[in-house]
Amino acid sequence: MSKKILIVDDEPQLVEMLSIRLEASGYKVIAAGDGQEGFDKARSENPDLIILDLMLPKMDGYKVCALLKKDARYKKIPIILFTAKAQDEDRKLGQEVGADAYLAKPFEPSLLLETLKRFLGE
Amino acid sequence: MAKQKTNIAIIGGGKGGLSLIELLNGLPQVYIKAVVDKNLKAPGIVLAKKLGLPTATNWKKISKDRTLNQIIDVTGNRKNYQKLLKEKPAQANLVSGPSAKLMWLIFEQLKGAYRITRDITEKAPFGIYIVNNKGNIEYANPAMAAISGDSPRWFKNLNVFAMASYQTIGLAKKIKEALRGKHFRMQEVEFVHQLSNKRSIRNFVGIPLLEYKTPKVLMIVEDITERKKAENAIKRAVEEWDRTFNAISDLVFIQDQNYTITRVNKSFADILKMPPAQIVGKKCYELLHRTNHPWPGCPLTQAKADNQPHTAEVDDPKIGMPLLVSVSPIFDSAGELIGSVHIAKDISEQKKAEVILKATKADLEIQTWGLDKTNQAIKLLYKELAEKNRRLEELDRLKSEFVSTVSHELRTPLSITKEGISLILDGIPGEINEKQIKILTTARNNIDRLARIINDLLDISRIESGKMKLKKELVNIKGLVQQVATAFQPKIQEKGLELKVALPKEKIDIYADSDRIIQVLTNLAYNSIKFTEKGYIKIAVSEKENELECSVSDTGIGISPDNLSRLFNKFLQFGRIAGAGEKGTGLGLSIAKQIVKMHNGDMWAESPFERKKDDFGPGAKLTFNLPKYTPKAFLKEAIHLVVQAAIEKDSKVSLITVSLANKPALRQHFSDAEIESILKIMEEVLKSTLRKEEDMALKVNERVVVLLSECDQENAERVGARLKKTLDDYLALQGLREKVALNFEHLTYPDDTKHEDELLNQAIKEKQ
Repeated sequence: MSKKILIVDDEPQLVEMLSIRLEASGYKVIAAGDGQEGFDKARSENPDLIILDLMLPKMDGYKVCALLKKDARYKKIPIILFTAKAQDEDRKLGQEVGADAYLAKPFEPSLLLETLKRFLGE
Repeated sequence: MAKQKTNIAIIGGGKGGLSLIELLNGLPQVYIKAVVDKNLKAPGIVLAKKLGLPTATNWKKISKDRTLNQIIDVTGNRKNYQKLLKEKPAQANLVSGPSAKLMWLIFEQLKGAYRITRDITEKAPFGIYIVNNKGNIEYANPAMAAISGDSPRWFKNLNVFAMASYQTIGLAKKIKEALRGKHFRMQEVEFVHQLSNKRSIRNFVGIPLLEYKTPKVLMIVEDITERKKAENAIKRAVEEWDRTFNAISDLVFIQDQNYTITRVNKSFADILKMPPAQIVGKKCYELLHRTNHPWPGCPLTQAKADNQPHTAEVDDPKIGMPLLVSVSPIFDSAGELIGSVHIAKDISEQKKAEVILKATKADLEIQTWGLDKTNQAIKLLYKELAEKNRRLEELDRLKSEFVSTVSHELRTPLSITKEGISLILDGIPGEINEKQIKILTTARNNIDRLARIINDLLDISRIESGKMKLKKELVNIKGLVQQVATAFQPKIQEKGLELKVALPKEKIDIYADSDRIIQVLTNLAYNSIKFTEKGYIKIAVSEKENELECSVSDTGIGISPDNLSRLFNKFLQFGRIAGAGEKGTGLGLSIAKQIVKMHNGDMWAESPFERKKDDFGPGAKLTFNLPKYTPKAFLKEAIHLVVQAAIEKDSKVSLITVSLANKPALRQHFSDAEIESILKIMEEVLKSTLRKEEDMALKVNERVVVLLSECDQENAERVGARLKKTLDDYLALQGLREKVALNFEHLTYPDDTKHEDELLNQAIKEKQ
């Protein structure tokens, strides 16, 4: 069965592009446009991996990440932070809230796919 | 004279009216209440409207105005004028009569044709009188009496033909000629009063009045005595100054801030054997030192740098004599340096006698004088500078914020574009042909380039705003160089170049931020590859006594001397790119240099660098150095930084020293190398448990010092306990728990000590 990936990003066009690539690579993609929706879908849809933007409406990516990582039921879901804030401080903060990896925008498609494969054990 | 304003109406907006408005408007005692003309396009009406003066088309309307003191008819229409006289008997003396005629003539002389009342003649600021054909004065205005120095009555009784002074200066003769119809003008006539012997200087104008039965002459007189006096005083002062200036036996010249000589004294001109006019306008270094740049020891250069007077010995063989030159800066009222006074003394005699005079009495006086003058100006200047600086800092902060925000905002659209292109390139929506691949690859490469620019911009803005913090730790520089060399190897080979790496045999550890040093090396290597088509790129590291030198050199096209001086400027994209290469951001070298500077090092460039083989380019070599720190020096710097921050934030700093207890016992179990590695591991373990970025753990000799910023005693004890537990757990895990005993010591600033050095000494003190 194909793996389910949740993309949480408030840029629908970017989500669309990513979906095309991920679906072409055989993944099932679901999307959320803000932090709250992302958090809800992470719990209801039980994805295999979450690609999480940091600057999000309603609830920022750090908080979503921290909340999920605190919860024993969801903390095993790998979270890849995905953001334009590529500075060291942001990276460090991401680590502190328990994110598993970090990808800076604009990203290398090959690097994204490699990271996915690494976390999904393929 | 009444201070009350005279309300005037002018009838007629033609040429006469126009001139009258021009003449009367703005006079303090006159108010133009109306300008009347049927023709709305008459020049007088147009001007009146422009000046905001009331206008009318019918004089009858304004003639009812009771506040009018004067109605001046310049139309020359006698019928209208007679009607006006009938209606306004109170102002019946308005126009006509000798005074109106007089003013008409005056204004004709000055402006054009019109009539005016006697009132205005009486108020004229210049002297007016009329001489008849017998030489008698028929009319004189008050101003004339004042000029003459006589009472009006006395003056009127004079006969100009009988006046000795008029004969002496030839005025009587001129007036006689004027009676025959010849205008005259006599300027700057020195006039001596017959009785008082008072001297005055006057300008005379004589206008023949030939309309009368017997001819008369209208005289207009201006007393310019005071003006002349002032002029002469200035002239005298200038002459006096000139004489004094030229009498000074020292060589004196004045320069503007661009080293151009604006004034010289005689001694100076004499010694150069050139007339002053040839010296003025030349640059002092061209003239004296025969160079095209300021002389290196020039005291003006120093004065320009610090706005202070300077005295320097100028011993340039080209001048032909040793000089002691004293320079005092000159400031304008805004406190800007606009030039300087140079006083030079020939000190060959003193030199000969081998007496070194550091400052003569005269020099001291000059310096004191200059200091007094400049002090005030400097204070003002500094105040202004401080204010400007504050504003600049604010602007800079806003700029950095702006750059940071914009850069972030740019990344998202960039990601979407890149991903779109990548999707097509990867053939996911369908197959594409070679040509399309080529075009899209170019597009994607340029998106990457844009992303690099954004990263560089962010780096620059973070460096400039002080947001970039270094995470210094002990790094193996050889390892970093190897890492960069390996990363660049494929790119260098691809271009057909050779990569040379020259490293010293010994391992060199320095305290630096390894990511940032990699960035510096990368930027330098990238730059070299970009500008090198043939030959090699060489990365070299060498160890000096107190520093480490690292260079990246190439056999590329080199850097022109012009660009060499601007090399580290932001956005310098010089045209040394041969053919189509990968374009840089113009920020790489600037960032590299700034990072090195943050490490207390420096960076410089040399070109040409390599000329051994003809088919290679002149090449360039960029070198940077980094100071070598001992762990103690590094700890000292770190303590200094956190203590400074604590003083600013009014917080505390704590140090926890973890040392090995019972060393003799320890040495029975372990070799020195093993002890060393245990300490090293402890340092790593402690590092990984630190609370925040400002904190650090550092192995110094046989201990690990943990520096805790914003941490009081109580907090330090808590952290200490946590560190102890972490270390114990670790040692237990490694099976070392029984063999290694640890000592923990706490020290808090400012509670335990107020001195940084004391903190440092306590931390590294060797215990028994």
